[in-house]
Amino acid sequence: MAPAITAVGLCKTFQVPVKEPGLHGSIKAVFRPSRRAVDAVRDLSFTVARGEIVACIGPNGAGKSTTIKMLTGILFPTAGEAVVLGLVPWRDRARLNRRIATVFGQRSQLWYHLPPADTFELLGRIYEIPGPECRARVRLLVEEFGLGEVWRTPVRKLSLGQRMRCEVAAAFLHRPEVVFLDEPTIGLDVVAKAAIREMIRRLNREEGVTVFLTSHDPTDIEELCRRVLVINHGRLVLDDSVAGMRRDYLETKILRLLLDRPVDPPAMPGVTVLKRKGPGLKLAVDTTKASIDGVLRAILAMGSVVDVTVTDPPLETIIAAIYQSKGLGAGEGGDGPDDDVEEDR
Amino acid sequence: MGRMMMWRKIGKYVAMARQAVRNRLAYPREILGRVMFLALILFVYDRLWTKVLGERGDFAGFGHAQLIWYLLITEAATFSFPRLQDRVSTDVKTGDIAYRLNRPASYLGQLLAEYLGETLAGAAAISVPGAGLAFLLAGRPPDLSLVHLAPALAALGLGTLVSFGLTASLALTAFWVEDNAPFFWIYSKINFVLGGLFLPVEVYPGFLRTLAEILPFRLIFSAPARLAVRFDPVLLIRTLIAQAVWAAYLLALAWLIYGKGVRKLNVNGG
Repeated sequence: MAPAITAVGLCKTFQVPVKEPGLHGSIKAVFRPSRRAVDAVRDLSFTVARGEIVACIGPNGAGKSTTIKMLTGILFPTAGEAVVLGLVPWRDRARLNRRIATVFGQRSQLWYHLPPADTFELLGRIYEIPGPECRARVRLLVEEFGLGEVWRTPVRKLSLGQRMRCEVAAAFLHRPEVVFLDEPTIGLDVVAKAAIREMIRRLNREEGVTVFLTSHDPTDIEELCRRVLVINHGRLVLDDSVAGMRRDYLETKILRLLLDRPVDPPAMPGVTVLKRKGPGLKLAVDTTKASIDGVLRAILAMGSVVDVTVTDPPLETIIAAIYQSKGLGAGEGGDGPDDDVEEDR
Repeated sequence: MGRMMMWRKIGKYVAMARQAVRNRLAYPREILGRVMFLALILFVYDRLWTKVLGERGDFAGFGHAQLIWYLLITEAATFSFPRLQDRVSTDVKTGDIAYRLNRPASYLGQLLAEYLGETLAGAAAISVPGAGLAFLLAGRPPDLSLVHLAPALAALGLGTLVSFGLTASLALTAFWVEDNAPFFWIYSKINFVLGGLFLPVEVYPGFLRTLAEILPFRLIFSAPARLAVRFDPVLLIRTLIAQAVWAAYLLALAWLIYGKGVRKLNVNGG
């Protein structure tokens, strides 16, 4: 089966106006405006299979949102090619947008002054969903996303969590084949985040929707995705499975032990005590310097182990390790600069 | 099948216009404010025209009641038109355009449907109390009847399309400049004068009248208001033809600007 998304050598360059400080700079900007080219996305190539949930991560300004905007046909690339569901997004946007959906975590597609019910009804008309089919779909989404209590409340009166549940539900109204989620959990509390993740997971499982997700929240990636693309300065620096990423970038394991009595932790190279309380011990083991087996044997020599768990550090630590190893920092305007920017053509 | 698909396509824009009506009526206080301002303008002009007309009783053939009702129609239309420039500019500045472009509906079509819906809601909400006040101040103008009002309303409908074509062409410059408010400041001043907001352009002196008649601004509300207060079948036909031609030209221009602009568009924010 053809991939849902293919990007080959995708590039996007913005022309950013440069203004010198002060009044002189302002006057000069009017008569002799100068601009500099910012490469938001450079030579980006990847594929996403149908039904896959892929996370695209990277520091602020890395080019994640620009990539989504090109893949949804909103922005024209400066160079390169992309095919989404067999269509070129910026050329076939009118045909493609019936088959895809987007959620931008920092924007809203709901009518601010009207209740979600009105937006859903209108979106049903816009996507030309026949009446009975639309009503059945709305019923399902209201139930699945738990929107009953906010259904008739004007959007402006909803909490961010409630609004985001509505936003994500609205994206699934027309049964899209690919959903692009740009930071869908930004600013939400843990309960709201968990609810949205559960809905995305369920719709991916039950309807086979391909999900392309950007997020700064490692839990989003950990709970939803099997594969991660890491982008920085518009370039793809890593394309790996979450498990592979853990394996390759994780040289530390966390060892939690409950002993029959308090003991002194073993003094071994590569072993760091993270916490010690009574018979409980939490150690970080650098597996390049000490083996888990060796550490366990040293502890067993001191006393009996009642319970032991070996875990990976949180994904956040792994991502930080990747960024560090790749020398990644904040990009320069890759996610669509806030200033007056125009496409370089 | 083909017909059903066509109705579905038209239906989505009708639904958007309906939504725009609800959206406009969501703030009754804003409408009340506009009605009160309209009342103030009508009251001031009532005093002014009473003084200016004096014993003569008319100005270039227009009596007191005709001038007040003319003003009611032009002002009600002005107050009813939504601020399209703000919509497009905000869409571009906030990045909300990303949602609008990603729907299976033309961006210009969405703007037009909303423009018509909001204008209709605004006109209904403003003109009914406005008409009551005009009646109290000036009575019914001699030529105003349902037979004359119907073609005048048709002309107002086409005038709304001309207004949309003009404002959309200007508003879409936001794709390049983001903040197009200065353009609209100039546009609104030109529209006041050459659009005949206070007086029918036919009473303007020489050069100004020629200029106003060449340009499309008078077709938005002045020509329909003139027809409502002093009906003329020849003028009606000339107005409708001119409106249709200008509306087609300006809509095509807006479409062209949109086509160019969308390729230059930058969607803000990441």
